[in-house]
Amino acid sequence: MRVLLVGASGAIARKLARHLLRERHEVIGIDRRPWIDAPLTFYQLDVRKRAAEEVFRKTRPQVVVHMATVSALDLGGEQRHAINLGGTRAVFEYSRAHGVEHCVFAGRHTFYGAGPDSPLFHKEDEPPQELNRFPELSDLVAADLYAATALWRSPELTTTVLRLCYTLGPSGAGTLAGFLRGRRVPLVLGFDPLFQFMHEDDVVIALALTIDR
Amino acid sequence: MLNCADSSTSAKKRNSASLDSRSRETPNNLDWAFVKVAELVDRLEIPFNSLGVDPYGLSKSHLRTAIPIFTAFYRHYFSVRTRGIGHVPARGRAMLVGNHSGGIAIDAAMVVVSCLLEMDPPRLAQGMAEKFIARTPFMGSWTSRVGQLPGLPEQAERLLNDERLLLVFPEGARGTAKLFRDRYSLVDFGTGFMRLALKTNTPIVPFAVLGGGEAFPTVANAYRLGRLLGLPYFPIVAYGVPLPIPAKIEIDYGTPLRFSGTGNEDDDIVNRHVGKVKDAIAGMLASGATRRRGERSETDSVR
Repeated sequence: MRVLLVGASGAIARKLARHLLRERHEVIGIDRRPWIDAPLTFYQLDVRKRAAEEVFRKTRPQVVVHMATVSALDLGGEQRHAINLGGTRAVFEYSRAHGVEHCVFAGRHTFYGAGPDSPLFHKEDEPPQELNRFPELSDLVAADLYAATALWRSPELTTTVLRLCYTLGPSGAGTLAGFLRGRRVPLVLGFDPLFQFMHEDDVVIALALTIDR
Repeated sequence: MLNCADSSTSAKKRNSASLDSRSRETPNNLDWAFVKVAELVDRLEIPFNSLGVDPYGLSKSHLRTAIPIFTAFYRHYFSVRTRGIGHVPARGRAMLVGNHSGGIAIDAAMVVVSCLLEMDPPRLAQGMAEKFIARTPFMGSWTSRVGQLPGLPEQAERLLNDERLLLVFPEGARGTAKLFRDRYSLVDFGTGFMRLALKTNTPIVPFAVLGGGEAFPTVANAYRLGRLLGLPYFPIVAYGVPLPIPAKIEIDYGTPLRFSGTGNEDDDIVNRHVGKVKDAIAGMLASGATRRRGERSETDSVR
């Protein structure tokens, strides 16, 4: 299959790209960030720019995996909103316009929020509950809901929304790894919550299985 | 006996060293309680992982440090007397449903300790805590490490489906807010516990706690001050300092009640079931209150 990875330079995305290449898929990558010596056809550009649509038009991917969302708070709300919602919108519009069969939105578990009194185990049918206490989540939640509504906006397109939890693994990349990396893990006012996480290789396999569907 | 898979180093060494030499001595020191509780915690039939943590974040090491202190209160401070512990099922899902007694949740702690100490094998009763506790710094994490999770229906259902022992006070915070003069009465019961019991086919073990009202005699509640502190209310006791005094506490467990249904019944049916549970608890409270009055007048006449 011809798979386009949007946000291909991220740690998990690179692993996924290598995995898909080993599985003999044809893989194309787009990212604003560079990927030197990328083992695939790689375009360094912003998915919201016109040039990105050209990639969709020329390469005609069958599957698109959207992994170009950000959660970093230091980016500021405006920029996060533009990347998360603007980028997701672009990915779905290009996919629809250029005959993509299956669009996978690699979202995050942060959709559900993590209040001190929210249930330990989330179910898919739960609404986002913590926007009142942590409005910084809103752009990711909006992107997730926009992706999910593609199910009725673009019925000809198969849409999958994944809400992936934190990842840990040898790459040492990711939010939770950053939290745990120091000599001491900071616990503010004794707040010591449970974290759910997956091994990064398992996340890659989960994404690959989604693509095969 | 002690499982060394997870290590809390120095305290652990002291405990295992004293296990052989001290376990036969008189059970009157805190050290003994630590060793005894460590044994009990290891005997809990709960799926702890190799680090001594269960899927809900319940932690063996937290239990080992917290329970001995509550055990000391149970044995020596409140001299708790437990009756009918045989009514609590040894295994499988069950719901302990009882009255709140006393201005703070010492009753819950004593029920938890009674199921650990008096049952064989020991069981951990897992309370459904008020949500404000989860938001309180330090307290929130600590309560969930000792198995007392925020009172959410989905959490309770999951625990029951995992065959745990659930501890429910259907009076909620209105129950702990009862004043001294109302100590043997009950306020309105919520119905959520009954719907959950019907849905999950869980037996209900009614229990009555007596003496919490004497241990923590609330004369008034300061609701505005409570709100400032992030609490439902702030209890005022006759002697000023909001700490419990060593009154004798009794816990009576009654015959398990089983109700069959789906949990989607009309309110009046559910209310009728709730009424039966409430009556069972009220009955135990009434006979307990009479018994306590009798005991008191006996001691008076001896004097």
